[in-house]
Amino acid sequence: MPSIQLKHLSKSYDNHEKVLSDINLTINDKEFFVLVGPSGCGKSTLLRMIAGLETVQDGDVYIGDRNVSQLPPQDHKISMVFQSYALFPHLSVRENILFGLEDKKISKIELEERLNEAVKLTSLEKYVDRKPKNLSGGQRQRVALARAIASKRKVCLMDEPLSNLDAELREKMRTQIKELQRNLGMTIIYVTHDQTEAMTMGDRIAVLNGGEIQQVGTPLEVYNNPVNQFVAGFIGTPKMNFLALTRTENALISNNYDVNIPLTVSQATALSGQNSVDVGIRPEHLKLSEVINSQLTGTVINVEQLGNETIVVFDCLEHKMIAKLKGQQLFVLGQKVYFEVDLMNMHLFEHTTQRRILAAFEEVSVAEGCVG
Amino acid sequence: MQNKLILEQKQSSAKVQTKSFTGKDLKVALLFLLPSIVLFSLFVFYPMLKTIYTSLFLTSTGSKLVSFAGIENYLIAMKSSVFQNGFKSTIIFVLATVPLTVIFGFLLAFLTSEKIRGMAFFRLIFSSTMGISVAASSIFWQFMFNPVNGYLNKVMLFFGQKPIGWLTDPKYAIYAVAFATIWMNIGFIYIIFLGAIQSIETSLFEAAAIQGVKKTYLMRKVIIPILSPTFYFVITVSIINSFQAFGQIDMLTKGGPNNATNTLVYQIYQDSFINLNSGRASAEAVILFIIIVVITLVQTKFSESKVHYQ
Repeated sequence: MPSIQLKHLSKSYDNHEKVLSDINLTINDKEFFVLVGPSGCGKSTLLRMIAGLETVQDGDVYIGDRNVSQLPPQDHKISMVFQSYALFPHLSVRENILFGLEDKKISKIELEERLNEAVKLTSLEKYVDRKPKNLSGGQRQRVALARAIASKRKVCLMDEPLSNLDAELREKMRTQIKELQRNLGMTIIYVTHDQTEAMTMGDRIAVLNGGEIQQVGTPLEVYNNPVNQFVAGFIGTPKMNFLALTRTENALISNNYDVNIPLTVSQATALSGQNSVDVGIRPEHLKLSEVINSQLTGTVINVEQLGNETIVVFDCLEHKMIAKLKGQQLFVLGQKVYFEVDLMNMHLFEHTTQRRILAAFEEVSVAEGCVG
Repeated sequence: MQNKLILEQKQSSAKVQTKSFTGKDLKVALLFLLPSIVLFSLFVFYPMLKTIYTSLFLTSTGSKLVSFAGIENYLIAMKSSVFQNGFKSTIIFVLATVPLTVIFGFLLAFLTSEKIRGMAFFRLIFSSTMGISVAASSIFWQFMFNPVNGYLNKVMLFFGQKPIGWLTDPKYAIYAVAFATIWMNIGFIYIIFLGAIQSIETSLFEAAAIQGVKKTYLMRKVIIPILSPTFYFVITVSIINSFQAFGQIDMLTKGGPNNATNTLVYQIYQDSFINLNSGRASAEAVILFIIIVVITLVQTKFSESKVHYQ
């Protein structure tokens, strides 16, 4: 059963600047759904429209089977965790968690039960009498989560809840939130600009850009099969490399012959009639070659040693390309390097529209099909 | 090597500590403070000390100090029935103005704090009294209170009531002046509260809206506690202003009728400039000063536990 449905949602400010256009989404019950995109892409506005904090101008928001588009926030029956946590500074952790609940007809025993459950799940037992100013960033974040838990609402909206935490804590909280969601069977819509969070937490993710949904899918679907160059570049770190190349009969080449990538049969077929092609190659799909003038030639401009892997930044066709190599590889700045491309994992995009022609994932299926 | 490094660090931190208070720094600091020291001395400290000094003397009608009188001026002032009556009027005036100004100022600010189209008009109207001088406001209220042509009495007649001598009946005069004072002061209080409410983080209101709390719960549980420093400031300033109200009393009633509005400040003015008794007026001014200091101290002490600073 779908938990939330968005139908043709649009939003503009001052009637001319479109913030969101024709958003259609179905979020399933007990799903961890992530809205990811760069700053200003409209993801927070979309979340706030689901919460009822922004007016819905066009389209409908369904929560369960109720159309809540024109209802005030309290009738959306959701809980929300804000980026700033929205904790009441003068209230203790206990009062913050039970905020608003005392005003409803809930018995004291139940309130106490809800509080105990929420603080236990968020490991806040020791801090119930503290004020937010006496808590660390991570603890405050957990109070905000505990408030959402205590509200007992099935749908929880989270607006960049981890962005104020340091990297280590963020990683820890990612796991905690995901575990909580699984254990409590909540439906969570989670907004973030951090694609790592999206990939690691989401059951499904929707990538937004310029107020439009670019792609919806599981993290691996989006990673392996990006529909356009924006999604391909946004998801994955380090970013996917892009090169504008010219197509010959059996290969993609650059004018100065620094790049010469052979095409598989299915790629060549898919590219029929196209002279200019944008190629997308993930950094981990570049392999260092011993052969001089291999498929890709470049000059090393930076090296990052991470211990278990080496990130090489090299200059190719006046583009900064990145290769992620296993182990510890040694390079000298200015050194000429040659790479081979994992052809099965190469993405092809139309040069003008930047849309996908053939994705690596499809190529793998085709290749497997051929073998079979 | 490591020991040397630690030693160097200790030395450098010692240098930082000794550097903070040199004579040169103090001179520079004083130089920066000089303008305010000069201005405060000239317009606050000197008149204050001079008042205390004058209050200890019997003075001539030309404000010359005649002879040292010790606390005699204070004793005379406090024994005088006019002064005692003035004290009573002042307390009634403060009690009639401060709570209502603060409550109405806050309620108006709360009602107009939401971002709704056209709200700016009401904000302008409610804050506009701040831009009107006491003299102009007093004239306006003179017209309103006029026993024959005044609008208030016209309203009374409309409802079949007898006209009231708002400013001429000792029973009503102090409340009439207090009412005009509330009107005059509400603009300032309103602006302070509106600014304070608007500076509360929006997400707190949104979190409350999502929980679906009632307006009264929101006000009691969120807005009033968060605004407690503002309430403290506004109440303190209002009390001091009310104790010192002069312009509207001079314009509307001149302390009358039958000394009903003869508050302490107005009495100080009368003793000083009408009765030409600077010594006694100074003693009364010192008494008023002490009253205000004591009230402010009590208020500070009382509100320490209630005021929440973020």
